[in-house]
Amino acid sequence: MTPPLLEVDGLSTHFKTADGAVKAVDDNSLTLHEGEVLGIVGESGSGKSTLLRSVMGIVEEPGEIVAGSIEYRGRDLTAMSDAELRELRGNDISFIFQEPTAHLNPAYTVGDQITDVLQAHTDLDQGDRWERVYELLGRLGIPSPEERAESYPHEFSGGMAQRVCIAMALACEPELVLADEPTSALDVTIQAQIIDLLTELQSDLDLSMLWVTHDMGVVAETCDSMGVMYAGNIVEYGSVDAVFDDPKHPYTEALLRTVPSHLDTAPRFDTIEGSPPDLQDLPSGCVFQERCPDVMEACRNERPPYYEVGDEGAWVSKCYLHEGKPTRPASPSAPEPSAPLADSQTDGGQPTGEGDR
Amino acid sequence: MSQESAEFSTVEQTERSRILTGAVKGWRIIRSNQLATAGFLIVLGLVFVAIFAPFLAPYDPSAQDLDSTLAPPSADHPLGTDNTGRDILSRIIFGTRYALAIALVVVTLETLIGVSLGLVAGYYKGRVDETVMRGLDVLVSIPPLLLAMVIVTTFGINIWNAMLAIGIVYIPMMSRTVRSSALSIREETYVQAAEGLGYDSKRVMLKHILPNAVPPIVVLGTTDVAYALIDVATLSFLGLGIQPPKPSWGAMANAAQEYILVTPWPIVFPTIAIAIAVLGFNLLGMGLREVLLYGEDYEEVVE
Repeated sequence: MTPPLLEVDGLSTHFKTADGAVKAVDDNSLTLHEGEVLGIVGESGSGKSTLLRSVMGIVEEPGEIVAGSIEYRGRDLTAMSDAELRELRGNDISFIFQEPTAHLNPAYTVGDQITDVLQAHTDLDQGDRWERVYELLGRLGIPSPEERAESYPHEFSGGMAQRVCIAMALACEPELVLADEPTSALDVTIQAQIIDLLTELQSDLDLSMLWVTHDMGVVAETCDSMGVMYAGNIVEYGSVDAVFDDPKHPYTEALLRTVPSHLDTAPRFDTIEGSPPDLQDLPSGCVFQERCPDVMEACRNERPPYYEVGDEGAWVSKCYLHEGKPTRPASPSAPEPSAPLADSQTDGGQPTGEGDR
Repeated sequence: MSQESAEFSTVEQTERSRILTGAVKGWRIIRSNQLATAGFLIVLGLVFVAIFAPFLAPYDPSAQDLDSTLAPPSADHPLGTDNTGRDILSRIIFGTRYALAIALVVVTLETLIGVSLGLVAGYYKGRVDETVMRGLDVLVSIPPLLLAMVIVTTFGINIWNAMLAIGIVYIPMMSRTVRSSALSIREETYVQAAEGLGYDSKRVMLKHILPNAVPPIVVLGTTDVAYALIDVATLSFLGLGIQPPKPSWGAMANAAQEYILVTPWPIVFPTIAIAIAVLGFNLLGMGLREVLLYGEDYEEVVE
């Protein structure tokens, strides 16, 4: 088995405020293999975007990675110098954002902006760079690329601007693409086009992707495996088919129930009662305890570990309902029991990775 | 716009078309505002006079006619003569060259240094910002003209030191303006995206922050040309700027003050020249401010 492309271990990203730390990402681990598409779903404020930004190393102040490691091909990104990171960003790892028009510089034509990426990361001369721009824009379905490359970002619609952003992200043939809700700001028909385009590009270019979204439909359609995030914690992690078929965490279950179906005849949409906990003041036990229909005494005392619920240990759930099943080993840097517990090594498809770490 | 540039195929031609569209864009911005248009025409007139001074001036600016000193305006000397019988009109015309050249050097100096400091302070924030801005606060705390006089008298009375002095005096304002733009622009998502694309800080500052901070720089720079004209004239009037017999407006006024009770003309006309030039740059600056900073129709104008 090839080593994973990206391995995040025990990552915590906290925002330091005057009232204490906001634990946006709290001790999460995930593994992404080459060619795999991993979806992270969760509601607004669950920390999924912060998780992605942490991987990219562009967490906004006062956010800070306080613990954990992010290994890309065995190199720890959190320990890298700025120069080394710059070498990787845009080149090996690139980013697709939520608001395409906001991520393009209004002062330059889109062609200029794409050549800029190429200039920063490749040795191509000016002529070749423009050739590549036209090729990319054409590939992304932008009509008459030579002409459109001379347009400014405000002359593009949201969908077209997102195509430009994707062209920029793919300009240097990255291995890993981090997508932060790339379709959320677009209207539904355009969403479908962009999703199809990304899926096609992913398989053609054999991209590995980490795809953050709040849209269960997008995950079902595009991802191989998924992590469900709640209050800074990935509470369930497994293959998309397995999780959708038979969710093993009460939150995943509740979340899936809220997805409306065209077969629904109920007068109201299902909702999850209550609201997520304050990230500044997380409960000492399970993060979902306040809203969980199956809450037990144990849930109130200690953060549950990952229980292996299927797929030979690749499918895990952070819930005491599965007590008795094997758990993931604690990571070497696991904090003492009073602090948030549990490691969360979660390798997609690897037979019980425990012991060899 | 896109049609125009689509006709060009090679990169160099695209580059040229970009400069062209830049000029067209600039003219559209100016034309869209009456103040800016008026100011621009005055400035254009000054530039014309400065370039063609030898052809426009009826006399050599330093030719003395001792038979008619301190003459009032007449057919021979439309604006009269000074105490050594030099033609005031000719001296004012040649004085345009000094005034414009000096004002431009001052503003260029101010812009180069002020923009760099402001950009660095706004981009890095924190300690760098504090150090740069508090340093500039020290400059601001001294009355500007006094500071300029101190610099000139310390380093020697000549025109280069006068320009340097006034340029230094203007730096804090430019830095503050650019810093405040940079502070807000650096939080824009496209700047974060640029960092996510692995650009180094130089590229982020120069290619992503600076171009979006240009409008306030243009407005301030234009207005500062006007102030520089006044300050250069003031320094010259005080004898610290351009030295006689060079025809500078301020120095002319200075030389004429002794004779103000005999005849007012040698001091009135250079002063009017200063006023016109200041008015031109001020109007242009005000107009540009209306369009670039407060104009809702800026996008439309540019299109």
